[in-house]
Amino acid sequence: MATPPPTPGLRKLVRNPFFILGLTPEASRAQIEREGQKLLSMLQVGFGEASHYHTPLGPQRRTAEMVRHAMAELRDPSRRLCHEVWAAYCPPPDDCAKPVGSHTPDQPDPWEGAFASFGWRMS
Amino acid sequence: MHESGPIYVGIDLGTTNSSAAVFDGEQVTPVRNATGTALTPSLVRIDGSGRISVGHRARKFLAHDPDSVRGEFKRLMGTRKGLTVASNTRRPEELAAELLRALRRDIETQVGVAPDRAVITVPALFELPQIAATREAARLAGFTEVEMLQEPVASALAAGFRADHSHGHWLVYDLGGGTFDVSLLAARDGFVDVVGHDGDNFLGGRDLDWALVQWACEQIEREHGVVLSRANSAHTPILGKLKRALEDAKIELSQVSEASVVCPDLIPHPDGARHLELQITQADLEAICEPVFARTVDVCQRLLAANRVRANEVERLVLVGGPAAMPALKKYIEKALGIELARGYDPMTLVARGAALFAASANLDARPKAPAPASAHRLWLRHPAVSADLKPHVVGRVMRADEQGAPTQIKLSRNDNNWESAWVSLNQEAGFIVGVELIARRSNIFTIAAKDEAGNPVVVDPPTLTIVQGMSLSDPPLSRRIGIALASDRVQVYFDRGEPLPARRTFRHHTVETVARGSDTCLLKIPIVQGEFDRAHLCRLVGTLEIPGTGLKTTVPAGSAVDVTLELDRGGNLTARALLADSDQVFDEVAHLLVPEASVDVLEATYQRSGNRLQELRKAAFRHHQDGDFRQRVETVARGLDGVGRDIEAARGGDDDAGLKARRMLLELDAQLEDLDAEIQWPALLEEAKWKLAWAAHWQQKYGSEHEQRLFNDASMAASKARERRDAVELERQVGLAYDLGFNAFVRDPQAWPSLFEQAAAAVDNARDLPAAHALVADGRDALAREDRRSLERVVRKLWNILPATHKQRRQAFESGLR
Amino acid sequence: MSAAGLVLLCVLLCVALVAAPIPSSELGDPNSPRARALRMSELRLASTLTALAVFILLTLYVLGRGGGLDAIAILAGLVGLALMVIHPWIAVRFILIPLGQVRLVHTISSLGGYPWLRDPTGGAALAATLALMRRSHASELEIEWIERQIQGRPLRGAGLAASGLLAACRGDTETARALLRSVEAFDSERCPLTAWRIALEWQMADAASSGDWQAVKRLVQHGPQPSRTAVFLALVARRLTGEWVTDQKLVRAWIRAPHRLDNLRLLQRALRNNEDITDTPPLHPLVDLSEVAANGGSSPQVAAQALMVGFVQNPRAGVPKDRFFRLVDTWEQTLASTSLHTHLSRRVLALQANHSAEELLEQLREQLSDDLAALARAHDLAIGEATGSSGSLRELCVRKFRELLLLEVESTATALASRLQKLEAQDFAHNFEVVTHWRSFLAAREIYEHAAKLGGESLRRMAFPKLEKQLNRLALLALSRFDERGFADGIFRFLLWEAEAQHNEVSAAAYRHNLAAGF
Repeated sequence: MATPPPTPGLRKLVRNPFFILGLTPEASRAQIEREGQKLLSMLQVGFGEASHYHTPLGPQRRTAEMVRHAMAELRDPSRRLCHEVWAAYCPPPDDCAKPVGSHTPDQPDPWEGAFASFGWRMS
Repeated sequence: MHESGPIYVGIDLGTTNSSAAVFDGEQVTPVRNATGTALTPSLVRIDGSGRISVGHRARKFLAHDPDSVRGEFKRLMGTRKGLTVASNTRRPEELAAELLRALRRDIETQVGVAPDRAVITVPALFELPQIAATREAARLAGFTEVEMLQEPVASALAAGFRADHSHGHWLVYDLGGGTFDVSLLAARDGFVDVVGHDGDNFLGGRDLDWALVQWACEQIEREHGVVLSRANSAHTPILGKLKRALEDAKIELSQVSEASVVCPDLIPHPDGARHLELQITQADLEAICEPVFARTVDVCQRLLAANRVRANEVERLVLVGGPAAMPALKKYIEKALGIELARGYDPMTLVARGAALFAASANLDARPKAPAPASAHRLWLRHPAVSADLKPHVVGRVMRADEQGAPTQIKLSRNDNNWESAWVSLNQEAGFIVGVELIARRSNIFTIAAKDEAGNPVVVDPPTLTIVQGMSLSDPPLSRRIGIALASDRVQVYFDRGEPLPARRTFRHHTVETVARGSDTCLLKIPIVQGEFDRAHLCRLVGTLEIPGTGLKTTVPAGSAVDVTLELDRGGNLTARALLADSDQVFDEVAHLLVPEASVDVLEATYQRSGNRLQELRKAAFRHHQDGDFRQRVETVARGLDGVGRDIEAARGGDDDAGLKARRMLLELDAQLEDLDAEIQWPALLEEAKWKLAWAAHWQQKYGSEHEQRLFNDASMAASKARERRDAVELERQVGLAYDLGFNAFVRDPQAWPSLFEQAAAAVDNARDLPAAHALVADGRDALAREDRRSLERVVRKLWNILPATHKQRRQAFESGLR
Repeated sequence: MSAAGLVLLCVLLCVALVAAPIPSSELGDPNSPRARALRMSELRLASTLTALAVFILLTLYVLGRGGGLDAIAILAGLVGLALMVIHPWIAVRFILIPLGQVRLVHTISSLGGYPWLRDPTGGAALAATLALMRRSHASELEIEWIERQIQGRPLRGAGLAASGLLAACRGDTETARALLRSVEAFDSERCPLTAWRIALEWQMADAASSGDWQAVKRLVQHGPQPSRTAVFLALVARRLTGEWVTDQKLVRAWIRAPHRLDNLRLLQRALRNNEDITDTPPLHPLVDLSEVAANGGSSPQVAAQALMVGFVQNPRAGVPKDRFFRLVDTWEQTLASTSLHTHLSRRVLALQANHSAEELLEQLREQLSDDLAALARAHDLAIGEATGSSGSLRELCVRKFRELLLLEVESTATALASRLQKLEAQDFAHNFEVVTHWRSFLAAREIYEHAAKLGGESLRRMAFPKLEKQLNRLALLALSRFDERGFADGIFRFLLWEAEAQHNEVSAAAYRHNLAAGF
């Protein structure tokens, strides 16, 4: 199953390579390679703890493709610097909000029998 | 014979020559063929009775039975083209499969194992259909699992592997048969990265060969008065012989300062065929090849400039490819770039070596899997086969962990006995993660020890694991950008060049037209394109995801959300799926397209069109007094077009490869022409905007209402801002708006409708309904004579309704239905 | 005998009425469906009067002969039967539709008469669809059968309503909504009142079933004379949305409306809802900006990102537009801050990046303007008319936002143009999928109106010409080649409305001309 795309405009926050790899912007190149490779192995073996990562907008599903992409992004110093700016704000996992989209709108007061009111059996 | 260690196989499937290499974790060794050389000519011979011979054996027949031998089929992979060899017709991938089969036999002879798994290199310019064809060739040759790697990446990997320095840049210069690639490597913090890549898809050893042929033809014309041309198919075999003779002379000139080209009965003449005997010197060769060498140096300098690296910061220059063996080239490049050449690299086998190293990174052990002892407990292990990191992790899981006597603790020990991990307990998922330490630039073997709950040792399978320390590239990078063409002719990039594979990405798009459920005339097209251009129509269409109205559960109105997911596996196989968010319906039928064949007539027409555009640009550059840089760019395109002209000529003479090359080149030149066009159009656009605004301002002032005048001022202001930003699209929009307001005021003038009538009457021959249009014009003339303005206005409106819209239809990108 | 003479006079009058020709100015084309329908209705009126006159004449005759009530009852029964034949809608409405007799309903309704005078073909299909909707399950075969009955005929109000209801039967609620909402786009000459009423009722039921009682109220205000059920639902809607409606009024409306048993639970729910409704508080508290800024500490980008997160998590809190611009301005300050510049310069050196801090900041500004514009678009913020100082992030962001909206309209127009091109290239015999094209028009209109709402007046003026050309082309094509007057007028009316709203007199005059004089 494909992961649903993040809300437009939030990709850099939700798919930030540092968040995907679970690293801080200060991480060294060796740490990035090591952590990335470890996560890839864990995902292949099917470790549950590797299946999600934390972002300021709540937990997101982690996939091997995301990890690979994150590692490639952080190998390029200029691209890495841009991601560092976006990774500056990451509250600890417990403070992370619910995933975007979990917001419930005003509870409507639906009338299931509305079509039957007009004598229609089908909507 | 390799009996214990892993074997990794890499194959360089070249245009002219092919080679293979094996890596055993310590050494990379080129594979020798039956003649004892590492290079196998990419030639296949099929005789009258269907017998096949490959490589050197096929080459022997090239001189006296050229029709039975076929080469240069690599560039035709992925096309529908059937190649005729003797009386047999074979697809390019079938011929490539014969070559791969021969290489596989050579590997078996050398290492004792017929490999099932291998890495095959492809040119960086290869698109998805060509990659798929190469994969098919490997399958036909008996390989069960193959991965593709771009040639420049392979040579970079081979050059950078075990680089004994921690800092600095390397330049890998790869001049192949048909393409030129250059990669810039950087070593940082113990990791070697490919930081940049550039190239010229239309420059290669073939250009050197044809330049030599051209030189020889000129000599022949001068001495014998015979004109030989590539456009004449009758001359094709003669030019082929001449080319081979010149190739031999070129090789000879690596050792000596002068060589002879001798071909008996080569030159056709009314008095009977004449012998050819030419002398060629080192100096001649250098002069002939110099333009090609200079172009490669330009590309290298462009790459260095793009990465802000000065030539003196580059430590080594590694040469790769057949032409790199030419002393003339070595001398020229070293001098022009001012970078010292790296010694000790074999330019002919470097790509195959890189492929073998990559096979190790990708864990593609070519050996058949040995059965595990029955008593052993299976471990599912994941670790890098090659690691640049000195402290990688080994992740594992115990299979059937609930069995009696299953391991509960694991320990790893390096075989040199200088390192071992602590006993690690399994987690709740019966898994473990152990950080190991590697010895630099070695093959590190670790023994796995396990204990059960009672502390008794347990036999596990596999009992050992191997990690090679060195430059690694665990994921093959994507060679060309892939995205979705949008209705606005833009491209939504899904995967950028260099993206590690496999990759998957999802973006939300919206439909631009309504697709009615059940309608067989409605179709939502999602074109998948490959290429580096921002404008979709310049990229190559590599597949189309189609959503027919007949397959829909509900009607999809314009503006509906569609989540499109593209997925590429390690070999570059593309799959796509579209999820209609509202109805939750999924579509994943992708029509994969072939590489379009280059019909000479179509190429010729496109070439003519581009030539005309170029002439227009030249004139416009002169009119608008464009600067030197602009003119230089125009001349670059002109040179490119000259090359295309020659290729089209060759294609007319039967050279399919030249046709394909011309098609690609025309596409790239088209993009450059569009850029130049946009640049030159800017002053004209400004001029048009100026008079339109002045015209509209005049009528607004005369007849415009207060409200209209305010709107007009807003539009004029927005237009001037757009002009400042050089935003042509926005400028056109705002000027259009202001012009419409001016037109609104204009029609209030008593003379407006008569003048509009005359304009409409002048265009009456273009009307959709001619009799009605002529009747209306007659009515209009009557109204004009009566000075009945209301009737005249009615007539003009009716005429407008039946005259075709002047609106210029914007080109739609492969009829994309998404935005 | 004077009574008998009066009745005889009536009969003669009826005969004269039938014999008298209908004025040609009323008809245009005497063979048109409209002319046929008019002639049929005249015939029906005459037949009705004749039947009644005959009934009175015979009754007088029977009474004169001393006949009893039995004979008069038989006569009344016979006349009733005759009236049912003359006015089939009575039987169709009260007997056949409730029984779900789709084909019979269609056959009988095809005879014409009230209420489908203005769209006999579409009316018969609509009646058949109503019968289908009385069943518990609609087979695809029957849906297709009804669809075939309206295919190839000019689209009118009843046909459109039938297409909408058929889409609903298939479960394609979105299409049903769009088509039924658009029934009002047809002028009353081409849309039977009953069709409009049915379309409104379906929309009311749809809104009520999703709990959108405000929409139920709105619908009944703008529609034709509502049915008894519609009146009841409207009262319930008013009650549920906090308006004061007495219990008695509610109960009376319930008694008057049919399907009382089905509506009983709704009545009870409405009666229970007698508390004063107050404005509901926002679901989430507003983000405390001062706290966020304090959390940001020395890193300005932390404050900006925290604001962004706050905005995304709770987009409806406060005034979204103001909060959005607060976010944009915070980012602007962040990009201009010396701390970020210093930080980036340090990191550029540490990582040996081949871009300078200034270049990276410029890159970030570009990315941010794209992202913020996309964010505003995703949350439907109407920021198209906001202004910012030249070169500011705010200005850049608004420009890109407008660009997104314009692209949406332009892409739709391009797709429409491409479809039109294909349509124009087809031969005349080719079928015009009128409902599909109508749906395309509705979707394009919706995209345009939404863009205009978010982008403001100037964007509306800029976007309109893009769509106008193609819609005008579509309408002219439908009219000239396929004789789809109702379809074309619906489009012309929209174009006229827009042209007038934008004070574009030239275009407005053209559409007025097209609507009034016809092509």
